[in-house]
Order: sequence, then structure tokens, then C-alpha cells
Amino acid sequence: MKREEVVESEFKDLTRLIAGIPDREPPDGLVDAVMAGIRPKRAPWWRRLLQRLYRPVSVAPVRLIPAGVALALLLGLSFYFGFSMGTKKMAPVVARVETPARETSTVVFTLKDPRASQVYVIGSFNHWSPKGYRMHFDKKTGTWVLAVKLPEGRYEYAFLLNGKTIMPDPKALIQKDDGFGNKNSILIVERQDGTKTQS
Amino acid sequence: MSEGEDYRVISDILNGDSGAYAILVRRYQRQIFNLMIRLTSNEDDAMDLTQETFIKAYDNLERFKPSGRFFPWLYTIGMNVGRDFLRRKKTRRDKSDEIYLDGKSLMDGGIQEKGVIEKLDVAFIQKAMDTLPVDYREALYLRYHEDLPVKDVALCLDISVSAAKMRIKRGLEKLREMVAGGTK
Repeated sequence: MKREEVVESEFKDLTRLIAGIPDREPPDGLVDAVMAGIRPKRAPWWRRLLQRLYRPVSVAPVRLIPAGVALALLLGLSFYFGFSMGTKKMAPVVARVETPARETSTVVFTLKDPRASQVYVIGSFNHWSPKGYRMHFDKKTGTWVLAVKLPEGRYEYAFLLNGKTIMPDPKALIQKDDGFGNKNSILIVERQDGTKTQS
Repeated sequence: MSEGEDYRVISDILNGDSGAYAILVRRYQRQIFNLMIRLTSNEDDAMDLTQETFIKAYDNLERFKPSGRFFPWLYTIGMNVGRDFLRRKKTRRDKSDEIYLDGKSLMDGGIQEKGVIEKLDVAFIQKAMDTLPVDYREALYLRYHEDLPVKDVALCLDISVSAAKMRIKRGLEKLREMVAGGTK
């Protein structure tokens, strides 16, 4: 074997050995220690403005009451003055605001992965934040389980395994490309009573 | 982990969801903690410096460019935090000028035979890696242990791609000289 080939082969052995050097596990409290040292960020005004412009906003019907009342008053006054001042007649408009209570359904997320040490559900319903969405491990079935109450709607979600790996729900019927080469699962919660598992 | 996922989390944090930062900390704590262990050889110091790195990165998250990748950016901050610490402590762990200080002893008792590197164990290589200057050692770790492409190694070490290539090549040569007794 030529000298260059020997050196090349030795380099390969070295790189293989470097790859196999074991890592030390970070201490358990590291994440908590970091999180205790940070403060929530307030988005700059221009970012908040852009957010408001581009993000669909869901408004509870009850919050529309004052606006509805104001609109009804305005229309009523316009109609009255328009009529009395002899200007063009306006058709009467009735603003009707319904205020149904927002129904929620219980969705049970499950993931069979006995090897995972920690699993969270993250998705559009919790702004992709795992806090408060840790799944519980059912030793009997080897399944991670979490029940979440959600209003009707269409949600994207995924599982966060061991704080590192994000994976879509293997049981979900619908998967969607997130635009970055990964997939999210789709959950559709219909208005109904009772319990619904993820689709 | 894709840069898209990282950026999605960063976007949430910048929009006020600070809790999402835990995802990034969990994702990269192993790499940063091990970097600090390599720099300090002390678990308590490594824990403190890892914390400091993540908090510094969080405080400067607005400066992170969406077109960039989070891990190399974080690693660069980690390297600076580590170097500052070593400067403050005037520790002798950073052996930039002491390439062969321990390497010679390794070499003296090392392997003189050709083609026997494959028989070495990981512990021996780890010891040899510890004696390399930080710049070479980190280039090798990032390239072959973290399996990063050369352009990301360059970003992590804040050097050009050609300098990163050179550092990896020279690092391997130095390591080989140490463990194989400089068979040329």
C-alpha cells in the first residue's frame, strides 16, 4: 500500500473514532436554570403591527357586542337624520350579534413510543410551546397520552420527543408539509360533545 | 434538526412566547455543555458557561438573521463565552501555544506501527483530542463528531470555509502525528 493510501486510511480511522467519542449528558436542571434566567420579549411595534395585519385573529362573539351596539346606534342615527333631513332614504339595518358560548371538545393525543423519555404535544393551539402540554406515559400500553380541551377548528400539531426531536403523528390521517421540509399532522375538531381522538 | 424548525421557534419567542426557548435549549444543550466540558474540564464551570451561553443568545436573539442557522450562531457565542472564561481564569486548558505539551507524552508511549490506528480505542483518541489546540480540536469535533458540513464548521468558528478546511486537515494531521508517533 502506498504511503498516501496508508495516511488516508488512518485519517478515516481517526474520523470514525472521533465520531464515537461519547458525550457527557447535561445536568437535569440545565433547561430550568436557563429558563429562570430569561424574561419574556416584547415584540417591537412594527412587528406587532405586521402580526395584526397578517395573522387571522379569532374574536370571541361576546367582544363584538360593544362594536355591534355602536354600529347599530350609528346606523340608527344616520337613518333618522337622513330621513328627517330629506336626503336619500336608507334601508334600516339591524345589527345582530350572537354570543354563543365557545364549545370545546376533548381531544386525546396518543403516541406509542416506549423508548422516549419525555414527550410533549406542540401545535398551533399552543403556539408550538410545550409548556403545560407534557404527555403522560401509560406503562400498561407503552403509550404517551394527553387529553386537551380544544374549541372547534383546524389545528396543526406534532410531538416533541426528549426535548429534541419533532415528529408528526404517525396515526394522523392528514399530514401537511410545513414549508421547511418537515411534516405536521392535521387535527380537525368538530363541534360536538364528548371525546375525540386526533385524526 | 432543520433550520426551518429553529426559525419557527425563534419567531414565536420574538413574538413574546419566551417558553418556546426551552425547545432550543433542549435541542442544543448537549453540544454546548460538552463544548464547555472540553474547554474547562469542570462540570460546575461547564454548567455555568452553558447557562451563560444560552442566556446571552436569548438576549441577542433579535440580532439573529433569519437567513442564518441557529446552531452555528449559538456555537460562536459559546466559543466566545468559553474563551472569555479561560482568559479570566488564566487557565491552562487553552493550549493554543502548547500543541505538543501532552502530545509528546502520548506519542512517546504511543503507537509506532503503521496501520494500527484502527486498533486504538475511543478513550485514547479522546485523550489525544484533549491535547490538541482548541481551534483544531473544535474543528474536528464539529466536522466528525457533530457531522456538520464544512461551511457550518466555518460559521461555528467564525472563519472562512477555506480556513475551516485547512484547520480540519491540519487537525487530523496533528492528531495522527500524536497517536501514530508521527509516521511520515
